[in-house]
Amino acid sequence: MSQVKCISRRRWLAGVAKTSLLLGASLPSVGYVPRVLGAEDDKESPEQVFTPSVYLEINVDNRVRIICHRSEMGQGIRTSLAMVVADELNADWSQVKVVQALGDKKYGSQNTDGSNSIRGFYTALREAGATARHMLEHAAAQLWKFEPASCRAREGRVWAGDRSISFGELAQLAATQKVPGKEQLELKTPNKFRFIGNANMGNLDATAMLTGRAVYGIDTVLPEMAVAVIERPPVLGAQPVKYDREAALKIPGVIDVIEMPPLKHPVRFQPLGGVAVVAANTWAAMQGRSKLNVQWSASDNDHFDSAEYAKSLKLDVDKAHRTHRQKGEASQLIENSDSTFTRGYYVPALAHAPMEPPSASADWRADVVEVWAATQNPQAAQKAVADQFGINEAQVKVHVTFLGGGFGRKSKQDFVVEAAYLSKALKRPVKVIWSREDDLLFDYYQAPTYQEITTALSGTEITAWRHREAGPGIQSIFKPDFSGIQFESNMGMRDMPFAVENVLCTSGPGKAHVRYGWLRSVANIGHAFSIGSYVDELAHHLGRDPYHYWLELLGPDRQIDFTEQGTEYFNYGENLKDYPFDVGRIKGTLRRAADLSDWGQKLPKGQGLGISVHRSFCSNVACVAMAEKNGERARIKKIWMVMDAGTVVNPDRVKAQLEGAAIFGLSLAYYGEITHEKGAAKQNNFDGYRLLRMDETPEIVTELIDIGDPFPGGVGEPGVPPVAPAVCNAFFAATGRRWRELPLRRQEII
Amino acid sequence: MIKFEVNGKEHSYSGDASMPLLWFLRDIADLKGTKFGCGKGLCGACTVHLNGQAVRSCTLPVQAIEGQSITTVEGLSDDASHPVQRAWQELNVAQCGYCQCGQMMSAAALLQNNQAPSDDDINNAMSGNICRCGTYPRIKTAIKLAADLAVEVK
Repeated sequence: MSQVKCISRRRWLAGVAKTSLLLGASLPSVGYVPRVLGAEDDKESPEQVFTPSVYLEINVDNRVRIICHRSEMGQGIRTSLAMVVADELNADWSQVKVVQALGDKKYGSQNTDGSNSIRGFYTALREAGATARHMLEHAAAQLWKFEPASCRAREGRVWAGDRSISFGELAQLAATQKVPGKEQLELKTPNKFRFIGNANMGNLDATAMLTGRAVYGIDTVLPEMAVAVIERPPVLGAQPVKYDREAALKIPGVIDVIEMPPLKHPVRFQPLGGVAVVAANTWAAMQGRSKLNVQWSASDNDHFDSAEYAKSLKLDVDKAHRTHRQKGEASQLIENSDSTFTRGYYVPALAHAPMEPPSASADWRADVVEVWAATQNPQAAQKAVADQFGINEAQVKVHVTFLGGGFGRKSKQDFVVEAAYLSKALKRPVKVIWSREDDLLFDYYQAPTYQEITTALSGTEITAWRHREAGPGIQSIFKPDFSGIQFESNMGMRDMPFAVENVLCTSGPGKAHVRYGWLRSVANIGHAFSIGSYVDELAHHLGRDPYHYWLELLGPDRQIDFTEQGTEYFNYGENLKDYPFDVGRIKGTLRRAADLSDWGQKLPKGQGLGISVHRSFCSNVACVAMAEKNGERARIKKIWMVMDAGTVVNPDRVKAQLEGAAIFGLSLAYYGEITHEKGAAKQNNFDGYRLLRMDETPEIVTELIDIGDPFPGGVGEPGVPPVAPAVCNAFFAATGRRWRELPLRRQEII
Repeated sequence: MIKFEVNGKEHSYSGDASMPLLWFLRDIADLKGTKFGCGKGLCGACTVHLNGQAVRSCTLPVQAIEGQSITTVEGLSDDASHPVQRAWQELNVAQCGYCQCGQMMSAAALLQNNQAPSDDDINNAMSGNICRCGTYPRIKTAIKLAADLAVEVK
C-alpha cells in the first residue's frame, strides 16, 4: 500500500472518527479501517480513493468498487448486493465493479447461510450507498459554491442544472466531507428504485462463468503448490492403524504421505483425520491414495446401521425428551377423544452434493496462513484454523473464491483446516481436493427424522394438535453426546400456524453416529413434509378438498405472536414488527398458487394435483405439483411455485432460486437418501446418490407476490420445504397411494 | 510421448499415460474451465469435445487421444461470443456456474449435429450433465435460442 493512500485515508478518517457512524446495528464503526480495507485486489486501486463505508469505494478513475462480503454460490449475491448499494448511490451500472471481501469482522457476519444476505444487510447496504451519495453531493456543492440541496447525484454524476461532474472527479473532495448521521440520509422511496426490483440486471459474473475463467476453490493455483487428497476414516472416530506409505510414495509425482491429526470430540469443523497423499498433481495424489491400503482402528460408531436406527426413531417419538411448544391440554384431549387421526413420516439423511466438492488451498508462512477457499463463511474459516493451531484469527487471511454450489456444506470448514495443516507440515502451498466419494461419504448430513402428528377432531375441526419427532440434531457436532433436536423445532414445528387451541410439540432423543449439519432449508424439510402431507391426508380423511382445508386450518388472517401460543419462536433472528408471522400472507400465497394451477379443474384420469405451503426464513412459498400416472409408476409433470418474500431486490435471481428449489425438492423427494451400514455411508457417487436430471425435470412456473412490504425476506431456502409434500400429495391424487417415507425411489413409484 | 491438439494448439505429454484428460487439462495445461464433478463419467462437469463429439474427460485416459483433437470451453470463444454462450448469457442460465462449462460443451456438440433439436433430442443429449442448482429449464430454453442464434450467424 502506498504512502499517499495511507495519508489520504487517515486525513479522511480524522474527519469522521468522532462521528462514530454505525452502518447497521451489527456493524462496527467505519472509523475502524484495517490495513487491507476490504479490497482483495487492492493493488489495482488508484492511490486516492473515497471510502465512505466498508462496502464501498469510489476511485478517481470513476470506478465504483462495491465490496461483496457474502459468498457467491449461485444465488447471484455479488450482483444483487451491488444493485442495492449502486441504487442508493445513483451510480451508473457500467461503472460498478464488485470486489470480493476477505474474511474480516468489520463487515458484520459473512456467514452466507440462513437466506440472510439481503435480509440481513439490505438497510446497511442502502445506507452505505446513501451516505456516499450525500457526501458526493456535498462535495459538488462545495466545489461549485452551491447549496447542497441543489446538487443531485444521477447515473454516476452529480448535477446542478446543466452542470455536472463525475463521481471519480469528486472522489477526493467527497472524502473530506463530514459523514452524515443516519437522520440526514435520504433513502429512496421504492418508486425511485432503478436497480432494486429490476428484472433485467443480468449477472456481473456471467462472462467469467461462461468462458471458464471464474475461479472456484478447486481452481486455485499458487507458486510451488502441491495437491493433496486424503483417505479419511470410513467410520467416524476411527484412526489409521497401519498403511502402506512406501507404496504411495512409489507413484511418480507423489511428494509425501502425511498422517492427519486424530479427531477430538466434539467434531465441530475439525478435519476427520486419516492419511493425506501430497503430490505434484491431482491424479498422482489420487493414485498414491489408492495404494495406501489403510487399516482402521475400531470406533464407537462401528455398529451404526441407519435402517435399524430409523426403526428406533419410531419408538423414540414416545419419549418427550424436549418440549418445544405446549398450549392447553393437547395430551389429555387426544387421550380422551373418540376421534383422533395419527400419521407418521420419515425423511432419511441427506447429502449436500454441491457440484464442486469441497476444496481449499493454504499457504502457511512464518506468522500468517493465507487461505483460498470455496467457503460460505470466511470468518468461521479464520476461527477454525486459529482454534486448531492455537494462533490468532488475525493471522489467518481468507480469500473467498467462487463456490461451485454450497447448500450449507461449505459453511463447515473442515476442508480449510486440512489445507492449513498440510501447508504447515510441508512448508509449501497445498491445495486439498475432495473427490465426489469424499464429499458424499464424509458430509455433514441433514439429519434423518421421524415425525408423527396426531389430532383430536370435533367434526372437521381440530381441537388438539400433537407433533412429536425423533432424530439427531445439529448440536451433536458442537456438544459431546448431545441428543435429539433443539433449536431445529423453530423451523416449521413450533411455528405451526393453524388456529388450534391445544398444541403440544415434543422431540425424543437421537444420538449422532455421523456428522450432522444443515442443508438448504434445514429442518424445514422434515417439518414441512410431515405437516404438508398430514394436512392433505386429514382433508381426504374428512372428505374435504385439500386446498380449502388448508385455508380453513390456517384460520382468520392474523399476525401470530408465538409467545401467546405456548412457545418462544426465533423468527430467523428477525423481530416480529418488521417480519411478522402473517397468516393472511401465507393464505394469499397459497391462493395464488391454487389460482395459477387452476386448482379444482377436472383432470384426465391418472393425473392429480397436490398442494402445500410453508413459511421459512421470513418468506412464504406455496407449491402445487401435477403428477401423472404411467402404469404402476408416476412422475411429476408440472410444478407451480409462488413466493411472497416481501421486497425482492433481484427478481430474476429469485425466480432462479425458485426454479432451483423445485428441482432440489424433487431430487430429495425422488432420490435423496444416505444410508449407513457398519458405521460407513453406502452412497458414494451420483449413481448411488441420484440427483434430478434434465429428462426428469417438469415444467416449472414461478411467480413472485409483491404486496408492498418494504422488508426483504429470505429467498435461497424457502422454496425447498413445500415441494416434497406437494409432490407426495400429487402422487396420492393421481394414484390413490400415499407415501409417507422418502425417498420415493424406495417405494417403487419412481 | 503422446501428442494431441487442444483448442488448435499442439500438446505433448510424457507422464502417466493413464492420467484422465481432465487432470491433464486442469493440472498440466492449466485449462481450468473443464471441471471435476465425479470422476466416473456420471455428472458431465468435465465434458469436452473429442473430434467434435461430447466426451467425459474424467474417464478418458490421455493415451486414448493420441493424434486427436480436443476442444474445451476455452476453445468455444475467448469472449463468450459462441451462440451457446450468448444464449446462456441472454437467459441468465448460470447460478453457481460450476457445471455450466460442461453443460455448454454438451449443448454445443448437440447443435453441431442437430440444428433444430426437439425437447427429446435435448433431453437425450443433456441428461448426462447434472446441475445441482437446478438450471435445467433455462438450459433447455437456451439451447433453442442458441440454435436460432447459430442460424442468424450463418
